[in-house]
Amino acid sequence: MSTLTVTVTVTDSAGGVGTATASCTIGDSFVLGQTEPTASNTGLAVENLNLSDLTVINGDLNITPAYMSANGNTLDRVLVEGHVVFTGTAPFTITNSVIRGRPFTGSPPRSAIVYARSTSTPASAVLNLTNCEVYPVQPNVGIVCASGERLGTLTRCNIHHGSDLANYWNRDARVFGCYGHSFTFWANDPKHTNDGSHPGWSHNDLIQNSGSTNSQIRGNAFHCYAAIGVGDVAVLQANGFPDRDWGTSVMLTPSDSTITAVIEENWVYGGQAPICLPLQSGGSFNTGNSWQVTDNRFGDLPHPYGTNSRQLIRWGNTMGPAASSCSGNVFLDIPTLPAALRGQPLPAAILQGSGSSGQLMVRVLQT
Amino acid sequence: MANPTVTAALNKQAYAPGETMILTVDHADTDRAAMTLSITVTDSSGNTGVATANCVIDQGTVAVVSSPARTWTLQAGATAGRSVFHATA
Repeated sequence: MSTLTVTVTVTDSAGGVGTATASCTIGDSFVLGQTEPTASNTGLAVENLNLSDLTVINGDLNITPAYMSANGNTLDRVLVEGHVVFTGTAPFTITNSVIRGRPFTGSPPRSAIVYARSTSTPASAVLNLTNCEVYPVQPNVGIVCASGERLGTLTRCNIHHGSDLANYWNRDARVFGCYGHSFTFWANDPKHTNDGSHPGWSHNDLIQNSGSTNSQIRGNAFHCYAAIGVGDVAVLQANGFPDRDWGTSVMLTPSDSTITAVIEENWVYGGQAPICLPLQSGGSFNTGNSWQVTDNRFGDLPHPYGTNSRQLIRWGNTMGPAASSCSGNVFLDIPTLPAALRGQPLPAAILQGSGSSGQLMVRVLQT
Repeated sequence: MANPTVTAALNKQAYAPGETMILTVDHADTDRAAMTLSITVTDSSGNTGVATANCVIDQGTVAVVSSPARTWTLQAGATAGRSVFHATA
């Protein structure tokens, strides 16, 4: 909800002036978990703003303790033509803004458009974004949209064109009512040259979390498709993924600590293994993870493994949650789904494999 | 010369996005006056012709801006002392 103020000026023939104002509120009918996020109800659209309503900040915005002492702990209606770098020691919130990086030559200036990679204390000193749009004007394999140990709550944001959209490093992921879409795919990612299936292909995740005690990912819309006309999407399309349905919407990788997460009431489209807590052989991931994956709506099926295994939710058998941790998830009643699946509940999880190599998965067999 | 006095009122306190907002502006000016000119021409034979003309002295010009910006359109039917505008929330 926003406030609109009208100012009226009446000028007479002698130049005399009289003024009056009137105000109102403009709200919307968005209900978290019930209203599907889109470009029309996230980012600037929440308060029906345009770029012309924003104050331009040319270059990077460094939110330091000194900056916060001088400017407070909130910022509203700005267009940051650069990176936001957060190293504050108290929470800070940016609202109704666009953050879109800046052009560069050579290596990216930062690994994230919103860079909250800090271990400053206290851990509660996080950067929150509400009604913001975040994307890089110059996409790069080395740029995600938002990242950090001090990345806070993302609320009704429109996030796109990063190689990942939001990386939460060893802290709770808090993502509510956001529209995540159009990640950028790259065929020569130096981080994944040893990938056994697709050497060099970027591993794209819309939301990734490496450890948490109470992650909440609720009421978001995840469209897990590579952006058109950017990066190496043509390679993806020419090598088995003509529909660009690659990557994972919610990837939980408990490398820093165990994961505890609630993933609920989201809309999930495309990708491959869209909700995943992966099996990791060799014990490099922590065991004892816990999650609930409930009441999510699945749209277009993910890319199959093999010819027909559409794995919607997948996790390592010995790393934590029981099969019953997934419940109440349904297929949307949309024409792009096979008729037999429309409006139907997702099947119960099955065990594929056994022991430490086994995976629990919610899947359908559909060519 | 006195300055105009102005009041402005929206038709609602709260709107949904896309809804039409109606703004009514009433303004007055103690110097404002409607003037009617009556002109009579009499010829040498005593025949007369009459004409009238009307004008407003010190009529105000109304300007509307808002934050955040909207396009405010003047509706037809404005009078010397009332102008009604609409915009989209």
